[in-house]
Amino acid sequence: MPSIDSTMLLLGMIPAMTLVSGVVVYKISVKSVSDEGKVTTKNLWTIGTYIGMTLMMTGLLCLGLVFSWSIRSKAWIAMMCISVLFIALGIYIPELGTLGIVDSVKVTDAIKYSFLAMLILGYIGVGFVMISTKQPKRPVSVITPLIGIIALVASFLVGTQELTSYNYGSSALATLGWSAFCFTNSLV
Amino acid sequence: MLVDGKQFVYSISPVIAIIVGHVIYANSMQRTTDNTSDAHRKKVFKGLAYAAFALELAGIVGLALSIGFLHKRPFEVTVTTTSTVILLAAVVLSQVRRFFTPDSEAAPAWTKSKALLWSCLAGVGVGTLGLSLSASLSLRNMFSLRFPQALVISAILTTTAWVVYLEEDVMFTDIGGNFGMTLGWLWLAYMNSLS
Repeated sequence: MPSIDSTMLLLGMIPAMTLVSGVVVYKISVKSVSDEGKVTTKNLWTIGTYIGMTLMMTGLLCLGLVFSWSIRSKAWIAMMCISVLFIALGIYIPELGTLGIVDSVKVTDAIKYSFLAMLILGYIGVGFVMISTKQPKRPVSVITPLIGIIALVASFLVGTQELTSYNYGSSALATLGWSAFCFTNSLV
Repeated sequence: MLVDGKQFVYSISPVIAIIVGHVIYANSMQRTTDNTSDAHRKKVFKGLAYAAFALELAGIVGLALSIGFLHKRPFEVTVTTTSTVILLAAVVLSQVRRFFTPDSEAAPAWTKSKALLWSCLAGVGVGTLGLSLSASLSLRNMFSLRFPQALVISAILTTTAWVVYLEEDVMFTDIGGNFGMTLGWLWLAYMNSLS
């Protein structure tokens, strides 16, 4: 059974949890903006949405750096960067309309499903790079990113209220999914 | 500092069972009470909810066994066992109470008791606090680096467990509470595997 470098695990978990806490702050703020209340309070919640989105993107960027840290090959690093970019676009673009930054963005079903596909491809890309760059390859380093991909895709499907009206547990699945990636990244 | 991979897998597997069980249970229960599902679908979701709840309880027992195996001293085994029993009782009681809540007319009077609600919350808090403390008791040099970590875990687990089970009274527990709860359980599995 392989050991885990606890420093590397913590180094991955900090940006991963920044990312998920950004999702939590963002979703709570978006929900609160749409509730009835004072204008001042709504303005504060609007700032909350921007803070949440910033936390999400910062966490994702740092996570991409941590995941690429031990990869020697430039081709694999490039693939990791593209996958992380896909995840960032898949999260960010559909939310532009919600945030009101770009009014002209009409989130049609085609756009929604295109970016959902992009997001899922991004998760699969990160998992694939992790499996391929682990030397020697062990069953645990193959199974764990797969668990991560399943949990992350499930979290997105559960959390997208347009697709299903049930978002209970999306944050739990997202935490589990990113933790699985961090766990694989710290195997020694 | 290395984490024992074998011990980590033993600790993380029940934690995954707890989290997945909790998510499936919560979503299935929500579908049994909404107006969009027909009677047959509601029955199927109710069955799924029971199965998921059993998975969550099995996860708690598995985690307690995983923590208990590390301990040699009877005192620590006693702390683990007592905390697990308290946690299981509180979780089962709080879910029984929640199960009756939608149908307030038919619900037995005892399920509406505020004292029961607060007892459940106290049980969940004490149980998670005890489990996380017993996980840290087996560590060496507890009073140097490890002890503050143990306190952080205890604080996260206890607070979020309370928030999650205080579903009706606190806003946004569905997203924030589950995040905190998952983080807490994962942290506990990590602490339980430090070598």
